[in-house]
Amino acid sequence: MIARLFRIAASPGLGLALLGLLALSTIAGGTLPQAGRLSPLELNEWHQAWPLLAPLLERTGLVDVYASTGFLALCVALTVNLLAGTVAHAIYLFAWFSGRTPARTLSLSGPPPALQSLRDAGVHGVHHGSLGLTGLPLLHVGIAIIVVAALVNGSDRLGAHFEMAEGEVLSQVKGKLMLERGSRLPGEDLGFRLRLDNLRVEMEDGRFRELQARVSLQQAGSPLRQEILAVNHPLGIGPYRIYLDKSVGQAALFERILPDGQNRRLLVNFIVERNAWEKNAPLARDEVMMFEDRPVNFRMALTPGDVPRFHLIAERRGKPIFNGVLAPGEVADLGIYRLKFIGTAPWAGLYLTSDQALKWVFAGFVLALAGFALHLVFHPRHLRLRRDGEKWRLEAWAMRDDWRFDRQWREWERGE
Amino acid sequence: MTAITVIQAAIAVLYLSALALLWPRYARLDRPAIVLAVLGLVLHLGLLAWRWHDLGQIPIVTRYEDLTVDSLMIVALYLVVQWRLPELRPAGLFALGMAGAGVAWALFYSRGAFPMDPSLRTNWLIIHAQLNSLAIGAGTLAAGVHLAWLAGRVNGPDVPALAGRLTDWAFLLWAAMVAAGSYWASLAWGRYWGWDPIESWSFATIMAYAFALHLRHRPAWRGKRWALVALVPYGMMLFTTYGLLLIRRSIHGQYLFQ
Repeated sequence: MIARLFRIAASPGLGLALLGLLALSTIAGGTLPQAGRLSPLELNEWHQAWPLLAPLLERTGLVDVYASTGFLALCVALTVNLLAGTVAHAIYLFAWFSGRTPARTLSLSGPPPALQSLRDAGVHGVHHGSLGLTGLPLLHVGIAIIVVAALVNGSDRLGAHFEMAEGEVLSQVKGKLMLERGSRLPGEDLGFRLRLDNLRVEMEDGRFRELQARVSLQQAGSPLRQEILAVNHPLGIGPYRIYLDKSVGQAALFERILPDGQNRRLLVNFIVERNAWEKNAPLARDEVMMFEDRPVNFRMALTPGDVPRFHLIAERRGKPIFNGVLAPGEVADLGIYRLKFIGTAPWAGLYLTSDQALKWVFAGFVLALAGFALHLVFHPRHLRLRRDGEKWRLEAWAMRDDWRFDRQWREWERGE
Repeated sequence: MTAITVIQAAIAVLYLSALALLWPRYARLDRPAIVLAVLGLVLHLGLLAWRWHDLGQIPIVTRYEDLTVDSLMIVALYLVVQWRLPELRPAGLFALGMAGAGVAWALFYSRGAFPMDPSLRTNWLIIHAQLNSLAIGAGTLAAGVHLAWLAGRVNGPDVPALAGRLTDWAFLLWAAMVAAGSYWASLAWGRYWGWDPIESWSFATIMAYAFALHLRHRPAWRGKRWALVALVPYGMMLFTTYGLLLIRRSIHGQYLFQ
């Protein structure tokens, strides 16, 4: 029963079918719009453009291929097939290496000059390029490692976006991190404090020429240190890595003065389009905030520059409670509290991740590529020459597509 | 018409003339064909060296540069392989045709210079893009052998093995390109894989190559039937590199291929 199950699991036909299915499903995933990758607006547009096709594809799961159970099952089944096939192949290779599989044979009246050394090698013969035998098993083990590490990573991954303005400190996750779908939330405390000291943004024709952040980092039990965060150079902090995600903007800085005299820093971030970075054009943002269980509608416009201006219209139940333009140092009285406009600071979008199995994924890549390269560069051959009465009997084991050996063999057959 | 346009057109003409001399009707003109291809390659290298010097950055960013470098790789690999294995020379009918078409197609894209985005200022760009060009070169050469084999232009007992080996190399280089891109993505974007359309199609191409390479070991599929199947992953490779961005938006398109 176990032997039969193993034969089914290691079946090359099953492997071919699974490979074909995986190729077809990724073609569908790469061509059809995928729900997880579209914004609600784009999803709506797709439904309107394809009123008959969109519901049909949704029902069949083709608009969310990579999150489907079928795709996961396909990956797992292929990994099982791949591992079982590798074991079967390794057993065959061992038998091949030991000369226990059928060999191609040639009867020679006398060994050609190239084979003189074989006469002394005895019953075990001579092996060439044996390193190539490890190639295909390594390739398949590498692929299995990639699949397992990717599955582990996918189930225990953190990916979260956040924004930080110059001078702002990140220490807690609450209200700050925007988690990606399927991400797990780390504890309340990240175990480090990060301050954005300086942001360097240079644009040319609406494209980044330079994007770099200088940050101060304080980890528990470690001294404060300064680091540079740049594109392609993430900052590693324990299990986390922080990236610049290439969104930038201007933050309006306020002091919120409560009736009891307490002051709190408040930042309102405005996204700046890349081609408008150096133009100091007015930036708009509308927001509804709750105060004493009542919604207050804020319409805000920030004009950055050497002397920034902040235009604020605050309405509650359609009645204006403030409408005015603030210069740095000026205060808006909203009744519940007062807002003192301090100025502006640039902010950068950042991305926090934790990929515990990432190293294993890349180890799998290296192993798989190295394995296949070994298979292509080294051509394992096993040759044995034995006395057979008055003649010599040449036995050879070589790979099926070892064309160089095939040419040599044909020369020996011709007696050259 | 600029000097670059003239040189680019001359390269395309040299490659296509070499192809014409390889045509079955002119069976004895394969040596002059190779001379023309070598001349084209020398001019091609000079053109890229000039652009590199002119821009002050490696010319592998825009679609124009991508097509020009890919064509160069196709010809360079073809010339090396036909030198070592002259029996595969008829594969040049397809390889030189693709290279000539690539060089000519590049003329329809902007030859302007674009500032390098900070995420492109890394050695991983060079590794990733060059592996892509090498994979296109090896894949085109393998497809040339498959087509010549199917057309009866190359024959002999070693052809199936040689066609298989070339397909193996195309697969290895494509997979290495994907792995390098994945590592670079982990540095630049914080994720090594995102099932973006380009990533999905690159993966599908790997799967299709794996399918074809496994199919080769089935007794019923060892001959010309397999050569026909092996053209499918090559078509997918071309579509992933040149066609997909015409119909789908991708994060890859926001940096490259203006």
